[in-house]
Amino acid sequence: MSRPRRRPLSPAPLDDDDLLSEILLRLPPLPSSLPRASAVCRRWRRLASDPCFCRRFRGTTGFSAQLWKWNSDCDGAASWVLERSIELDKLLSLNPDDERERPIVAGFAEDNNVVLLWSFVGVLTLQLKSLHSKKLFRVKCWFCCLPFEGVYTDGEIIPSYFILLDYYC
Amino acid sequence: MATREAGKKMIMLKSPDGMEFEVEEAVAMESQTIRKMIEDDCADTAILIPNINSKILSRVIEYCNKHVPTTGATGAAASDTVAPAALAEDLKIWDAEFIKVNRATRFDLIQAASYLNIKGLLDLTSQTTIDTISDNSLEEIRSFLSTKNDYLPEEEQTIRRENQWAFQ
Repeated sequence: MSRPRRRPLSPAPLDDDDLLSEILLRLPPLPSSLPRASAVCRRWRRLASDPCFCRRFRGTTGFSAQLWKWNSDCDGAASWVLERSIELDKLLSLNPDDERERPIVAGFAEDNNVVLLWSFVGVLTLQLKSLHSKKLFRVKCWFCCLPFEGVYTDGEIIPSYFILLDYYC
Repeated sequence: MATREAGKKMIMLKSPDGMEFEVEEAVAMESQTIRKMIEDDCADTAILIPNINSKILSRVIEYCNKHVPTTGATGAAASDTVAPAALAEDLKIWDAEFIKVNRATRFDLIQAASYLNIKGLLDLTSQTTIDTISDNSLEEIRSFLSTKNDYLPEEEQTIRRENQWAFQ
């Protein structure tokens, strides 16, 4: 009679780190999932902060931008609070599997809550309140991109000007 | 190896409590653990599945029977007449009924799915466990999963404060 490779089974799946990790991997792909799981007990925190686990947990979710806000509560205690998580790949129709399409932050226009992003597909603006985005133009490589806000902004969501220092390869 | 019908290899699975289950090889091979043993040619008469009792093993076989791809002499007819989308929907409904078990049974199924390496069953059982706790408070999660809170009160307070946004 043949037998499968014997691996001792633990009395309960939740006592087995591998099985508990498997279960926790199915938590909703929300930024709050792992911090909440970490607060259950020390063991859950250890598993949820394991770099390998975190990579697997994030594995299929594309890329997102987290918008954090400095917030003070009624007792006057202040802390960073996650205000929203923006799924950039879906919003900007970028392919998360293509590394060249992953955007980086090129600059900010604070007065208008606009962030300038650059990816292989071009320079994009993203208005953080309305989540309205606009593709401005395509540039393969750039050196420095600084928004420059004019004094008159009649509700226009893009900065009045920005300076882009380009270079030729 | 036993052969019940022409073209269908049968295999014997034994639970540690002495029960024997004769299943089609294709069904048993839904388990990657058993598949590897068969492919490595070390499963000639019967396979003892350690630590999975007959009650759980019979449920696992039931799952594999339902999920085995419908190809071959008898299966071809089924997949010819039913659209793949309808089959997937049928499986989803079947899974939902299958997993209506108590917590202890579900945990046993998770262990069995992991040991036998049956991805679909592991997905189903783990996801169901997460779905039952994801909207609950920390206290409810601990109580439901019999997990002891080993944080000191001040430690827990610090963790909650540092990640206050996640608990709002």
